Amino acid sequence: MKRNYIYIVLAMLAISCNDYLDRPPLDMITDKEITFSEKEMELYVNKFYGNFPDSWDTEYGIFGLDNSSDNMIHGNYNYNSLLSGTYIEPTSGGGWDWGNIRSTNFFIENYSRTTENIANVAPYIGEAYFWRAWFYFKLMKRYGDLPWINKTLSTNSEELYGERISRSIIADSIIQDMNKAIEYLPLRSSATQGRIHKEAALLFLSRIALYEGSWEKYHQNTPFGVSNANPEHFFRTAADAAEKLINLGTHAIEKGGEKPNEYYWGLFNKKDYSSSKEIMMYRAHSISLGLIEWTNNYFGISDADTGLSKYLIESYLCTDGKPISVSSLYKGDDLLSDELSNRDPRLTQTIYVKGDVCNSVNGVPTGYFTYPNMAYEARLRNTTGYQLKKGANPEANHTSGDETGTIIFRYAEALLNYAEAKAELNECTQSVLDKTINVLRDRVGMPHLTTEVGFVDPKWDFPELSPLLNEIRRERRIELACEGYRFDDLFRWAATRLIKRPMYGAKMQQFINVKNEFKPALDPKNIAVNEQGYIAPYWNSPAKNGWQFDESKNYLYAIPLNELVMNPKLKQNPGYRAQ
Amino acid sequence: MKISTLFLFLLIFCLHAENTNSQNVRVTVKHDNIELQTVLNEIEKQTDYLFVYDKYVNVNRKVSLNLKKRPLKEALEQLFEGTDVNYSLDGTYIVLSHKENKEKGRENIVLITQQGKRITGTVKDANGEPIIGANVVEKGTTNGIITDIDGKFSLNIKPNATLKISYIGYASLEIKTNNAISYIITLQEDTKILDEVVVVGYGTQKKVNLTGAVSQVGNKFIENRTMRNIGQALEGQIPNLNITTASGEPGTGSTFNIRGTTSLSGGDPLIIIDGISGGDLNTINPNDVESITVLKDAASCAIYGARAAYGVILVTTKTGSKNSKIRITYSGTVSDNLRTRIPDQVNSLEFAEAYNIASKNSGQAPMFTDEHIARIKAYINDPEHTPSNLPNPSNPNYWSYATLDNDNVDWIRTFFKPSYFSQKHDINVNGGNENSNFYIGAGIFDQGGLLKYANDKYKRFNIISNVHFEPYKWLNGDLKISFMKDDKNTISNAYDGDIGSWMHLATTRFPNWSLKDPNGHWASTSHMYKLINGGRGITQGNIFSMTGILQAIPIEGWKINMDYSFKRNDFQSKQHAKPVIWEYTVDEHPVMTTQFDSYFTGINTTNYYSLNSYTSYEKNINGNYFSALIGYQQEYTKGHNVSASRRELVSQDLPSISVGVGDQNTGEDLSHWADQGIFMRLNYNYKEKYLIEFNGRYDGSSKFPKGHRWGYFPSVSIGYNIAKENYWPWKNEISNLKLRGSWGKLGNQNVANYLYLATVGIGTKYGYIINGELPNTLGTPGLISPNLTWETSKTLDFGFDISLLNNKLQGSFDWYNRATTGMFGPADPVPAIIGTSLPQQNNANLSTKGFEISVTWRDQIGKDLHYSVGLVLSDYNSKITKYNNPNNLIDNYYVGRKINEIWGYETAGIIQTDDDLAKMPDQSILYGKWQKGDIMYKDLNGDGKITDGKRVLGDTGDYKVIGNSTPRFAFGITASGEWKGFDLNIFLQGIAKRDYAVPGGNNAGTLFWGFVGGWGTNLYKTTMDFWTEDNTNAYLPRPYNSSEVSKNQQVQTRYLQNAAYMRLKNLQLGYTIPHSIVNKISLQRIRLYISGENLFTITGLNKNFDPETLSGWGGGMGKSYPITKSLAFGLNIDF
Repeated sequence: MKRNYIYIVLAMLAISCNDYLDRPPLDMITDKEITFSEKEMELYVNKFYGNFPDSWDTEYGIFGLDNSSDNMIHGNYNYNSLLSGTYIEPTSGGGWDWGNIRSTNFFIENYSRTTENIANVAPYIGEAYFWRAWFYFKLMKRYGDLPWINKTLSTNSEELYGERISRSIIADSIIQDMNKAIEYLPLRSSATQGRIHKEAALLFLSRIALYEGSWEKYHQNTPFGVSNANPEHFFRTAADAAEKLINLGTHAIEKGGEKPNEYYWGLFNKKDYSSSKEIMMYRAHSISLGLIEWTNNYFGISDADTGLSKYLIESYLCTDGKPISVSSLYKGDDLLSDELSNRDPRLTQTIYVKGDVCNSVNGVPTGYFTYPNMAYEARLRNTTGYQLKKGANPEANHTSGDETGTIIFRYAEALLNYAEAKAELNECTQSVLDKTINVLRDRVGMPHLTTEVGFVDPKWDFPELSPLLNEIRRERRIELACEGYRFDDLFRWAATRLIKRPMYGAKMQQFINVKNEFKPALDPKNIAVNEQGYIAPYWNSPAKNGWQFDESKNYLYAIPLNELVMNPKLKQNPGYRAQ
Repeated sequence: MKISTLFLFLLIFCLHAENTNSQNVRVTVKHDNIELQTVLNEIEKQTDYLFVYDKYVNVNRKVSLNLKKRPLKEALEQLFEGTDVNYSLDGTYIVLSHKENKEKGRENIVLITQQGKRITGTVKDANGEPIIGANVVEKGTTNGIITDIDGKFSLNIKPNATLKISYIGYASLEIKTNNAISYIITLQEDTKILDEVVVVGYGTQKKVNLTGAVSQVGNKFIENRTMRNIGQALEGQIPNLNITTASGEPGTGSTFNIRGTTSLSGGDPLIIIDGISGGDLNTINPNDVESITVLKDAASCAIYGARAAYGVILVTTKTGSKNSKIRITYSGTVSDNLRTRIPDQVNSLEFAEAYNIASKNSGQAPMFTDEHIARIKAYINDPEHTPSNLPNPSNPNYWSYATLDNDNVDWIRTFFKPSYFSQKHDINVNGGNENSNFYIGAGIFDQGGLLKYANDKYKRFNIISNVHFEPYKWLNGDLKISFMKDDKNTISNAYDGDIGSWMHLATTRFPNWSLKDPNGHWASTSHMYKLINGGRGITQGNIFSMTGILQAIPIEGWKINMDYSFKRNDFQSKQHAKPVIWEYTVDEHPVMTTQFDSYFTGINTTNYYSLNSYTSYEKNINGNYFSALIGYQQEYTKGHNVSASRRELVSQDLPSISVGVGDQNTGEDLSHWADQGIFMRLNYNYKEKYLIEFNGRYDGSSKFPKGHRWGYFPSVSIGYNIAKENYWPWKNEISNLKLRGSWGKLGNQNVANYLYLATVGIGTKYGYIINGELPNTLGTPGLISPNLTWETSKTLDFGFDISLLNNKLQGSFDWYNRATTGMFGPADPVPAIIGTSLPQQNNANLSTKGFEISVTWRDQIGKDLHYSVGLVLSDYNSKITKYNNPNNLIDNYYVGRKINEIWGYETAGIIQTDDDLAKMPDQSILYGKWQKGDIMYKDLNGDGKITDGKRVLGDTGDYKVIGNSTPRFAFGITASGEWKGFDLNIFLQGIAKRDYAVPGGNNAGTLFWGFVGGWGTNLYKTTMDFWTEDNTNAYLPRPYNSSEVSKNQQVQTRYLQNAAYMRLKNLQLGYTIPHSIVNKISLQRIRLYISGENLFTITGLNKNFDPETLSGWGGGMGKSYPITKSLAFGLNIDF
């Protein structure tokens, strides 16, 4: 009894002074206080911009992304575990990341709370839809079928334990989001510099639809195929979006430099693209704001344990518009100087050739390229004899940070998406080619492509496809080389057999011949060479005969095992263990 | 505030009601026609007053008096009214004087104590040394004195009075005086610690009456050692007080834990320094500490309720003592501190050749060409005349750093020097009279650093003043003021952050990388310019605290206490990153880097306010002892953090925000929390034989939402001192055997603020430029825990205390089970589709069981050799008893999981033959390709392949628990002896069992593996024993320079480390110069000593690691700032 009495008295005292314990936050707002004012909406969507491609993505920024393909050969054969076949099922995480989807859902679910005039906040609503599409597209590329989550879930939401929905439906939902984004977003001319605009959204929509269209078409009748596949629908969406962008006329293909040998290369190393007609969006850098990029600590100084592959070099046409296998202008590959002459000018604007300016100060050259840095320490060497120049800025500060912009969206892609989608729809007329591929060729002075093509290349990558589609794909590879498109392209085209070939680079002998010019003195013993005398970085690795990519499963990633245990309705992707 | 106001009123009311000054002393005298002297005697008996009078006062005068409980004053008035005697009160004396003498002044009056006689004496210890400052008091009176420098005293006493002689550390002695006038009194050292008083929550208790698990150490452990901080002093002294010090960086403090794993969300002991909670033990001066008490079981902690779920450390600082003359003591030490274990790196040639082997194994071109190796050889043979580097072929005016270098550098020894110097000086003054006493202590500690070029250092200054005053018999008070200032000065953290840590940096420099370029300038890859010229990082702490205490004692046994504390903690950080020369070009032009040109300043202030008011009453009736305590506490803490940084300083000599012109960042954080509690304690014992104690606290915290704030935390403990029973047969052999048991429930509120609110952070300077600016951002609200409330810990404790063999052997044992329930565990696993981190819930239980033993033997051999040996031993082990992981995923907690268990594979060995390759299980889950020199794992379930199954309990394939990293059986052994002024102390500390899994496959493990797959690899003498065709009997497997390396570096039995150790923490030899010599130079005591810390270590651990800093920080295992062993010389002087 006595204790109870004390307890009651104490409780009364405590209740009477509850206010002493009321200590609300002093420097944070809570969800209840978000009113979706214009300022709040702007701040909310700002945080997604970091998801755009970044100069930190690889040593070369976006220009190293093709390391995961047959365009570039990284010194480590296991650089991308999916390609090398060493990928194993993760237990958790591994890219199965839904945080950003939740963030966009919170906005889309609640923005109607706003009391602002919708016209004032439309850009932010558009951005929220754009970003949800962006994050979903990334997940779909990685995992295929997905649950469709369009609201913020709590721990007792049923959706947590739902099934995956066919990627075809997911793709349509993504497209729906993109259509909303396009509706709400302003044109570039009235958008704030750095923010997403309508044109960028159109380009991204064409990319998504082209990806899904090709996937459904080329993976048909494989474990990755889609039942009720409807590639035409997606090709149409892709073509329409690209066409809409082209017809807006707000963007164009432009020359990147004053001199012909910089028309193409000069496009990729600018600080400021704010008035560029071709670079639609970019990440700006500023030393004074402390936001810098480092790619030029590698470019021209060393390499980044990578090099361009022979296959990429070979795919460039000769100046007569014909492939090396048929053109009489091709001089063979004993010497780089031979191999690079009479070729599509984009080749020598993509890789370094002897005499190129590596470094300059206010236009005065201070260092010239001689030979690739094949004898450097692993992380700084060149692996193939073909050293990347696209993206290099000789004027940059090579020892500390630099301000070169990182490209996010480039108009050339829209032209290539359009041409490809039209070709897939069998609607690629000469006029389509003339406003797409041939515009790109005009910039560098290459002969036009015609619908008939006019030659048969015995080394076409896709002999089963039409000559025109082969040439459109070649043009895409050349124009967008080393910008991070190739991995996606190989996957959507179901073309990974191209990476299951032995990877190699330039002929070794030419470097041995110039040993004295080659500093540091090259020790040929240290560089792996195949039987034909070509540099073969993987000669001593399990990837000697090509990456051990397993086409029966590696086209998609594995759902983390713990997720499968937690949600039995979630099924594993083909070929992977579910437990 | 209502409660506090109420208590304030109560207190003041009480003070008025029971005012007990001399006016209220009452006497009862009933005599007719009797000598005045008899009446005076009577009054003396009834009061504490003594009469003194001169010879002119006629005490034989006959008087009559009839008073019943009347004021003393009335009695005096009646006795002396109309006489020629004046009376006056003087302290405890009533002075009677003849009126005629009054004008002559008091000095002329020869005062004679009533029937007094004068005695003299000397107080000595068992060795015959005089005891200075011993209290000699006439029993039953306040008539007393303290002994002088020769142990002598003289005192006027009544005939046949009893003298009580006492001195700290000695058993009190009572002697009855006889006709003798001179006494030699020998005090025996007090081996009966049973009379020791132990500090407990809101009071003290006799140790013999304790029923909870409480350990206390006095300042003996701390004085006379070369202590950086309390953590170092306490290590190994108290069983199950676990102390870790993460690194040897100057100014690094220790972290404390009581009885092992507390909660999954963490939980530290509550630290209370002189009544102020939440203090930092690392910043107080060990020299000012009187005692440290550790409350371990719930019953002892319950009075502190919600903040004490995982034990309490009570620190009491020194005070002055009553009636002692002012004493000044000085103690000082100087020490040299040497790094303990430093990995031995290989030279650049050994490195290059080994590295090429691994590259070849990985299918890569060798990194070091023959030409390169030739240059490395040339450099090793003739460093004077061989350039350490070549110009960069692509950029010939620059050196080829990190590529073609051919230097030969031992990086760890380049960054770190062998030793540093440190010193500590303390001086304190204490003294007191009848009504007040004081202690003032001041100390300075100056620690150097091991960084060779950075001149890193730490300084701490402490001052403390404790004043106690007793204006009235019924009222006393304390004023405690302390101030601490520390100052850490090292290189700017802009650079430190850039390089991780210097150990990490040292492990990521290849031996062939240049330290200096061929022209003699520092190489950019050495980062040496940062160490030397990179600007300073200065962090300063100021802690000011003040406590006022009032204690009223209205009647005997009833105490009313009230204290109010204020503490202000200021922490300032200034980080100046200077642009420095990054490198020199080949033609010797400096290249600057401006990347770090910035200045940062931050001020973090915390204000703490605490109010305690409590009242207690105790009474002993015929052996029935009762005591009760009830009180109220409230605490409020408010934190304020302001910071600013700016780039591009116009002048690097005047680093400040004002001289910057570049981008500016500012920030502010505000936080606060409060708690309130009402507590009570009831004690009862019968003749100290049967003991029982109840505690309870009703606590509220601002960290929880309304409706979930309050919790009630009760506890009970009982004791039975069986040796006090009359029938106890072994009274002499076992003088004390107390069985104890306790149970209690406590709350833990150790969670972040506002978990019940979905807060949305505002970010600034987001890393994407919009419209030329770095934009601001708004976060996404997460999931909240609306019902979050207290986590509770319930502890059951059984123990006993024993004293054997005339108290020479003392022992104490406790077993406990601490169940932590409703833990803020990581939430139930939910599919990742939820897209956010899950809110914390009160959803998990944990049980920690353990025991602690302490044993002390104290004795003497012959007359001169005193010695003692002590052992403490403790252990704990925790496991999950409830966790919502229905599938028992082993990557999460599951029911039955032991905390810190290590999962891994059993190693079968190294693949040596083609036969092995053919017969070994399929290991493709780990890697696609296996060859000789790789690791073969054991196929435990015989399915022909190595797997980890579903990674759920019961289906883990060949994956199993192979060890546990919990430190088990922590022990401390102390031995000390004294002989004719010499003293020797030995202290060993260690962990008897602990496993440690080496991290694999990334640069965290390079100090163990050497090869970690490329970047981050470095090679040491210990890592060279790797498998090659020529070294098939190797310890380490075939090395790789790619991620393939991880297939051999799975957590496995072969490379599991035994991290048990025993370390000689302290060895000290001192000599106290004989008093007779010291006395001649007017000093009381001089003691000189030499002392060594960490002098040797026994461990089975890989030689590159120190067992105390295994986990490392800033980049991986063992990558800690090296800890040190020290050699010190010290001096103690009492003036």
